[in-house]
Amino acid sequence: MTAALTLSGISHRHPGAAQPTLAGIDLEVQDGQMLAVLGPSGSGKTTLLRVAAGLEQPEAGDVLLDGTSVLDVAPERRDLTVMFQKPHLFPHLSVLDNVAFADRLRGQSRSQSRATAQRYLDLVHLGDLGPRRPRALSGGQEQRVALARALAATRRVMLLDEPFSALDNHLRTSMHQLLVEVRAALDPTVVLVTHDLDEAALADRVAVLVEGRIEHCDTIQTLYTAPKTLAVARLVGGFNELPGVVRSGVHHSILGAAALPTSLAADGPAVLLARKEGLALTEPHTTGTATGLVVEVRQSGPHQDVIVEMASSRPVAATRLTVEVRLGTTLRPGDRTGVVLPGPEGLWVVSGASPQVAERSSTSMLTTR
Amino acid sequence: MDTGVISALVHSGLLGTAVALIATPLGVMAGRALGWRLLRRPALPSIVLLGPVVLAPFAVAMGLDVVILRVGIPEEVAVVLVLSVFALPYTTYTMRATYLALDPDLEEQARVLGASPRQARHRVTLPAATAGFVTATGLAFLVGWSDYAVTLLIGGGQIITTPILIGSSAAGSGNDALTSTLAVSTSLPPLVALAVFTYAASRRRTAPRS
Repeated sequence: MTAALTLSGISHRHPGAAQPTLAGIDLEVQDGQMLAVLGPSGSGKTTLLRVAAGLEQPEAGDVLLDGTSVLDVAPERRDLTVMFQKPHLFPHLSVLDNVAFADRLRGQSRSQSRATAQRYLDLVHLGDLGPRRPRALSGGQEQRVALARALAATRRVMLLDEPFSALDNHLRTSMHQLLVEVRAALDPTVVLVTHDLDEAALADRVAVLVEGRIEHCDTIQTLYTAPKTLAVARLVGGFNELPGVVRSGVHHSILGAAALPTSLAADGPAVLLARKEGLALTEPHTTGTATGLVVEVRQSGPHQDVIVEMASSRPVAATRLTVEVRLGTTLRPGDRTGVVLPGPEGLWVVSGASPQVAERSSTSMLTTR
Repeated sequence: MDTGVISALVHSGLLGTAVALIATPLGVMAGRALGWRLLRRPALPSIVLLGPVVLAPFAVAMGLDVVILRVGIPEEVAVVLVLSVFALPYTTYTMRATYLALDPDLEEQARVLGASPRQARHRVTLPAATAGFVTATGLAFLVGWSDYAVTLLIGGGQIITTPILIGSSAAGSGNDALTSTLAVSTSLPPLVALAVFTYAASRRRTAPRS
């Protein structure tokens, strides 16, 4: 099946920049699918969208819509539209005429285009605000109108460039809900650029962009459980990193030996990844657990993070583990506690990283749940 | 009303309109380039554009009339061109302020909705800059409408506008009542035009739909 949008080998460098902004990006978005491009600030997300829209020319690579190259096609003639971070509503037009803008350009009559625009305004729950001027709208309403205007353009692919990042949490959540409703109603093909994991979770697939390269492209669940690289794990957040080596399906690190799922049994240097909510605290010096010193207890949303500095018999940099616990922990900095790793199904390794910590005796297997 | 006064009003109106027609589009282009920082080195164009404001019109006109006579440019054309140069700083800096307040990304937004670069300018940013455009046009018109020195010196006394008429009345007739009447008649048209523009702009701001 031909993808609705294909980015093939896209490379881009801003004038005068030493490093490329994008390096060999390959992405495909199928018809009706929503792909999120997740990355930190400066990773090249917006540039990628601008290249796809034709607002920037790549150094190399191709942009294809339904299998046909549109690299030499002007932005207005590419069958895609963009909703930017700022709503960019046209101040001299009413809300209704903003939404009707694309139809007017296509030569439709004023009344016809307004009738169509009204349907899209109804879809974003702003049906009664058509006569208003953009300056009379709140930030959330402006973004809803911008979304209605992008939808009314009825393009093959809709590109969303961090459109909800300037909104407060409540408005952002309502816009996420609206996006879900719009997808259910119209089934558009969408590429969403974001640095927000919750927003990325709305998409069918998430492509993680780090320093101009796609590090991982999969479902959000996979990113949370099996990130391909350390950069992805750090972007997703919530992982404890334990450098060490894998030998015969067992990872050896400062915490001792931890059995891995059989599919991860490649020998060599590797960093063990364990999610903070997968670890548990227990009494110190319990058989088979690692013991450490609580150095900080931090509030993390509706939970608390207990940061434990692990004891080590070797002169190496101290390893700190973050363990997520329920509210109301009695642990305080200075307390000693035991840390229990999850079972093999809760562990993940990223190979290739050099072990920075000397391993403990490979015979002292750490207790796992 | 005396036919001489009517003729002077018409000449002033034509001169103001001609100056506005030349200086406003140029001011829009220059203001857009300066406001949206499209120039790599904006300092030199800014100094050149501000030059006519710094120089005294009388001094410029005294020098230019000789040049214009030698080149053989008709006086009417010369007056319009010189006054347009004097009006250009006003139109440019009015439009620069307008474009500074206008997000250049509006044109990109229009393009990804299907507008060509020309359509993006004509259907989005120019209409969005209407208030500044009207102000710039008004200022350019007033430069032509109210000029005395350039019209007298370069026009060689052949172009009788209302300021010329008022000047000659004040200098020659000694009839203060006539001079005052002429002055009020000259002031009224731009004031009426200003009132109409202001009313139209306020209607536009409060109108529910475009």
